[in-house]
Amino acid sequence: MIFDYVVLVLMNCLGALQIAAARNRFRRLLFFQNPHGSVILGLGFGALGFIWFFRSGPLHIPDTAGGLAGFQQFALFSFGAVAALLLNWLLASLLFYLAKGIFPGELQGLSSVNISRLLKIFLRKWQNY
Amino acid sequence: MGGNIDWLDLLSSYLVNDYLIPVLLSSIVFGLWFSNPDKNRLNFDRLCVLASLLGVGISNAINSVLNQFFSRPRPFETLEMNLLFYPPSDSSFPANPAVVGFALAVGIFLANRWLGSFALFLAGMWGISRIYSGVNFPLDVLVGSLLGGGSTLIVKVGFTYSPVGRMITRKFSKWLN
Repeated sequence: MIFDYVVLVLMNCLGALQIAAARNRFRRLLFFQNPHGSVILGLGFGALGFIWFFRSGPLHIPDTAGGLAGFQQFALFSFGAVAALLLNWLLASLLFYLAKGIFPGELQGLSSVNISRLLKIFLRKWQNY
Repeated sequence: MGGNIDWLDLLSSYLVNDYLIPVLLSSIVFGLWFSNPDKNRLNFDRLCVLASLLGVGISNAINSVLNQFFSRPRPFETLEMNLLFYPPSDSSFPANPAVVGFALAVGIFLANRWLGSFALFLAGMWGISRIYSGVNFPLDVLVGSLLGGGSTLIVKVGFTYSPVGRMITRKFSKWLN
């Protein structure tokens, strides 16, 4: 139950981030350059999360029989949201690095912490060994 | 009420679920944190997110106290009806899902009218599905929604008009920037 819930939250938060980044033009957080594609991808992530969750078991389980109590949901949602943020950041930076020059523009907000640059340095150092 | 129309029972069994609408509303709140291109507007949205989270906390605390004083039995315990949900053991008054749903939805509404209307619709559907499934009375849902929504609204008004709230808002905006 805990794993399924975290997957549900992770997928939904990834979806919400893609939609928010498309609206906010945080290009470094987008998986696709096209904002409309990112919105569709975001909605798809959310839908996939729910399909995964509801296919994984019975719908109604009380917290006394293996379900999640309110405070557990809050804690797991917080964990899933942070994990989604990190995963989105890593994946988007990796995609940015792989497709250098596809996303030109100024760095803003979260994007100013440039993981792609870190990755580049890391890979360069790795090649030097 | 439930148990007579198959498609409505199926729809209700998804809506009344402990995870569908809370995760949707929380994801919208999470997305709001990042979603506005205008920096001043983004700070305002983030303040609304903070208000809605504090609203959930405050209304849940009040709800726990109320649950100690009003031990109202559930509709399926007192009326002849088909239960479409697991039988909860705590007090029916006020409805906890309505408290949480409306606390989140009002916060979203304060930040973004369009998304907020959708969020209020979801919170309302959650409450209605609780009544349809036989786990809450309409009054439980009504009081729960007023408690949840009211808490978020009071926190937001406090942020805007009270001296302490304005100080918190200033520090919060400074921290964000």
